[in-house]
Amino acid sequence: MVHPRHRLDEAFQTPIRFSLMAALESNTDLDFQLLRDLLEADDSVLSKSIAHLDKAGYVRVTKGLVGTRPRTWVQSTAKGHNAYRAHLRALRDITDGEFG
Amino acid sequence: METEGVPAPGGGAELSPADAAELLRRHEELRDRAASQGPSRSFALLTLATAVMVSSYMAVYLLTLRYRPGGASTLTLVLVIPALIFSPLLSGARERFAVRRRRPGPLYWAGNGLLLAAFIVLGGLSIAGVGYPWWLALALPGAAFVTLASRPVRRLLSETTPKSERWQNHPLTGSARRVTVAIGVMTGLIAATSTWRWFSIVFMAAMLLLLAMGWMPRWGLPRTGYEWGPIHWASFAVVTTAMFLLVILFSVTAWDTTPVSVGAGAGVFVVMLAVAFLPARAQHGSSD
Repeated sequence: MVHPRHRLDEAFQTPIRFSLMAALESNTDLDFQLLRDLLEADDSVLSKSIAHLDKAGYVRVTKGLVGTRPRTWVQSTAKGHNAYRAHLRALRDITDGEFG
Repeated sequence: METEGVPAPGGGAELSPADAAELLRRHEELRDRAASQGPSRSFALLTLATAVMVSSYMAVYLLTLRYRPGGASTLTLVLVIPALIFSPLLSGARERFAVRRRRPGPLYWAGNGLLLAAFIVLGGLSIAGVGYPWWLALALPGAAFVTLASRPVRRLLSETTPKSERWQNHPLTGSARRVTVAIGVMTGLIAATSTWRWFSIVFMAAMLLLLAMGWMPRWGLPRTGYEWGPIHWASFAVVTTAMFLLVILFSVTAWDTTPVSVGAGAGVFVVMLAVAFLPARAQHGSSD
């Protein structure tokens, strides 16, 4: 039986990217500033994480305008959601010791 | 504070069951914290307003075609203007919220597509002079309302509004104030001239004005929708209701006279003109 660690997704193996996907689990778009506060991360770290997940096709970034100020919205894609769920299943299998 | 570069506990290859359990615990915590953030009741109210707008538009349109097939074309144009104004205003208002309900999935849109198709069929039947049971003209908008309003209503019933999240009224900036007055002028003129022979010229002018200011992000309708507080939205609801009632009145009675239409147009204009200057001062402790 293949060890479940092989099913872990590299994209979620930094705390910030993992936490970002957890925060995006509910069916909502979250504002960049709110994400920054939720994850207790600074702007550059969060930007890098979002860019990495965006490149992987796991999140989608939408730019908006609030008055004259730009605003950034982040949401997980179906691909990202499925990959993250698979990652969680692998973690549960490791926790449960289900790898022979 | 978290960092991007440090791998998660265990780093994958050496991940122990304890590390995996810690990650799952963190997942639960983050998910719950994000879920507790919203969408807010104000956002739910805005979504509910959309449901009311769409279903009311459908009901009034179908009733107008049914009861006044001959003169319906002009009257239905009266309905179009508030609906066209509402859409970019709503788009701007959505930008207020740090958490937004994502647009629903394919099943939701398929259901709405069916409702839209039924709406077009019923409208077509009326135009072609083919009868259908009267209750369908109300059941269809009712179904649209239930579909669109169920989620925001659940949210409104299940949550209270934290003080920090209340959507309050602020004095409008100069550009939002001018657009609010322009909305009053446009809707007022449309209502006032709806019984006149050259109404179509006014309608075309209104459409051109809407095209010009409709989607300008820095000063147009989206920016105005972003700035509007509850009092401005309530006033726009009053104006829209007045215009919809005017159309119903003209459809089912013989009151489609110039004094009635001009009176309604003046009333609509005054409401938007007045609210453009309200509130005079910002409310204390206000926030989104």
